[in-house]
Amino acid sequence: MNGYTSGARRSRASRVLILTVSGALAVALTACSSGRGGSGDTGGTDDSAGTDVTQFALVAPENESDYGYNQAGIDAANGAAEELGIDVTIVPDAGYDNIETVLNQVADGGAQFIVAHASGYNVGAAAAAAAKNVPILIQDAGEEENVPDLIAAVKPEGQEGGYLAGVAAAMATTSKTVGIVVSADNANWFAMSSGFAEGVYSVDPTIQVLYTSVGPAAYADAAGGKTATEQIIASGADVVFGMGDGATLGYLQAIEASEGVMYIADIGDVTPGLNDTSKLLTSVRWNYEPAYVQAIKDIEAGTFGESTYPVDVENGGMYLQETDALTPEIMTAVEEASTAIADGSITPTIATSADEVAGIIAAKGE
Amino acid sequence: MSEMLSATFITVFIATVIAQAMPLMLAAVGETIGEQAGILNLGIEGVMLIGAYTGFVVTLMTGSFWIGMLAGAIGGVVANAAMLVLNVWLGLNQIVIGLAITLIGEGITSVLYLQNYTSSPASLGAQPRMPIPGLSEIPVIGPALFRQSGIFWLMIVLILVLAFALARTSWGLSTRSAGQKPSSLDAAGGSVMRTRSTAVILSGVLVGLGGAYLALLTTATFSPHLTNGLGFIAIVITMLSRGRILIVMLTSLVYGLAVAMGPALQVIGFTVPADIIKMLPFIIVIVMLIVFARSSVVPPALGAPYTRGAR
Repeated sequence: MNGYTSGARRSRASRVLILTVSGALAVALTACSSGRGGSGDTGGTDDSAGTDVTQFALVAPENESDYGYNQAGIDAANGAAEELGIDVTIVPDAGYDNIETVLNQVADGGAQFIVAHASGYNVGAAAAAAAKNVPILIQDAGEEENVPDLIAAVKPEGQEGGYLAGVAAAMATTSKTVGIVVSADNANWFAMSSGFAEGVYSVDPTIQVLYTSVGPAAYADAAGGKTATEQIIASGADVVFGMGDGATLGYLQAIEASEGVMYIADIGDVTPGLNDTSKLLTSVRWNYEPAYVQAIKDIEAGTFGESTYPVDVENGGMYLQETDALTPEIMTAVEEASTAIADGSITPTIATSADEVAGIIAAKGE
Repeated sequence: MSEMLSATFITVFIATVIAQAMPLMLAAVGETIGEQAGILNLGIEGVMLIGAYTGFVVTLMTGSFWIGMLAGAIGGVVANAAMLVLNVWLGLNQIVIGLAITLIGEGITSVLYLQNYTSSPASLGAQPRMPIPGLSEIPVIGPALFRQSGIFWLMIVLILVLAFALARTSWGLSTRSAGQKPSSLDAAGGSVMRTRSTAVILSGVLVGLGGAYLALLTTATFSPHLTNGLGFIAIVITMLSRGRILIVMLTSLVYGLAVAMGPALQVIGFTVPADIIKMLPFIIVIVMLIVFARSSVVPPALGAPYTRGAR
């Protein structure tokens, strides 16, 4: 062993101290690792078809403090539980590692239905659903992923919400430059970005739309988010549309430090994170509650897994949050655009990559 | 593209380079002092996080960034106390202790943050600036360089004083001796244990300050795993800088430049894959490692035991 001692032998007191510290560490580590899951032997549902759901769970990679995707899922799960009068178990901060194990543990804990609230969970969710025979709602998958009684997908139509935000941004900007900041290569955010650009150009094709990404999977990179937002503001953007989970904390710092800059959030309500709430132009809110309620009803009816659950403008799952900054003129324009999207006369483009977003921005609505 | 390169944009770009470089610089200087004394602390990622969280909480409570920075330094010392007791005093393995400190730092700050701030996340707002009369009026560079906070200037002075002390004072000589040839220090009447203890405590102060600077000034908030591997980059920079603090400062600025370039390139019109943006700082560090690896010299007694009288 290394270190400085006054002799070759270590004193008995030192050994006792080492043993004590080691023991304390072991106890602490054991305590830390025992926080999730349960040792119950309740098992999954034997047959989901026609089962009365009295308890369900939502597993999310982060927690509700992201003001976004995780917050929306958790709020919707609590809302659905309250609406249906059933119990819900929220498992936040599950991360992305070993998700199949986490889902299995949640099923073992008695959940009769699980919302796997991340598209990165889809593979593990399919395995867990098959292993535990528990219906699981997965994210952002196509109809082909649905498995009767076991797997169904919920599909947000982000491009529709992005379009509405673009209309609002175009009418609010005075510098004629607006920005988009995303924290990851995420299919929903590409779709929202393309919709946003098309919404902006539908009002004024001369407006400049800037786009920047914090990283390929920098969902929680608050420092990187602040840097990216500062630079997009420095480039002249006075309305910034931010999509970022935990990185949103960084966006908000940059917005609050800049004068005359408005922020458009996505998915959740960022109001608690803003010292000056007048900075918030609006938020593209996603409401999963109707989808969760319908999924639970379908489980009870034995029809779960036969269709995908949309979160879109038409069913009220995607809308702009009302704020004082949204003037009556902006609200009128947004309502007209909502109606046009719902009746199919406006169909915003779904970008699936950063290159496609760049192409739509470069096309300037042509 | 050219219209994007406005004075405001360049000013913000330069300020971003500095804001990103400072936490790394402080942490790497702290690691340098420790390594020069023979202590390889792989736990500075965890120490930074503890400094960042402590500084964040205390700033929220007191409203003072200065007190927050002080708390960050104290947090760093407390976190480094594990290295002090378990390695310097009790002689346990530095690598194992370092990794444990990293894991504990990541875990404890995440748990505490999630416990206390999940439902009502807090932000710190902008720190008070201390513009230098005249110089801060210089176009483009002035606002970026000379309109920093007082904390920034204090940190720069601290780093320069330590650079001088490490190279030119008897304390610096003792510190370097503890890493180069501790038996010589012992034979000359110096105390290896006291010298290494001082270095570990000072290292904790600087690394804690680095974490606090990241949370308070660079990001103005805290989030779990805020450092994102910055502590490990600090270790690499320390190894490459061969104990020269001025080189630590320069390489930290190169890192800051790489971080700032990612979003800047996108904003001015380059379609850069997000993977490249995120990799850029690490690519530059790896390139530096490859280019300068041969000239990288670490103290001979780094990580090695010193037992009086042992051969």
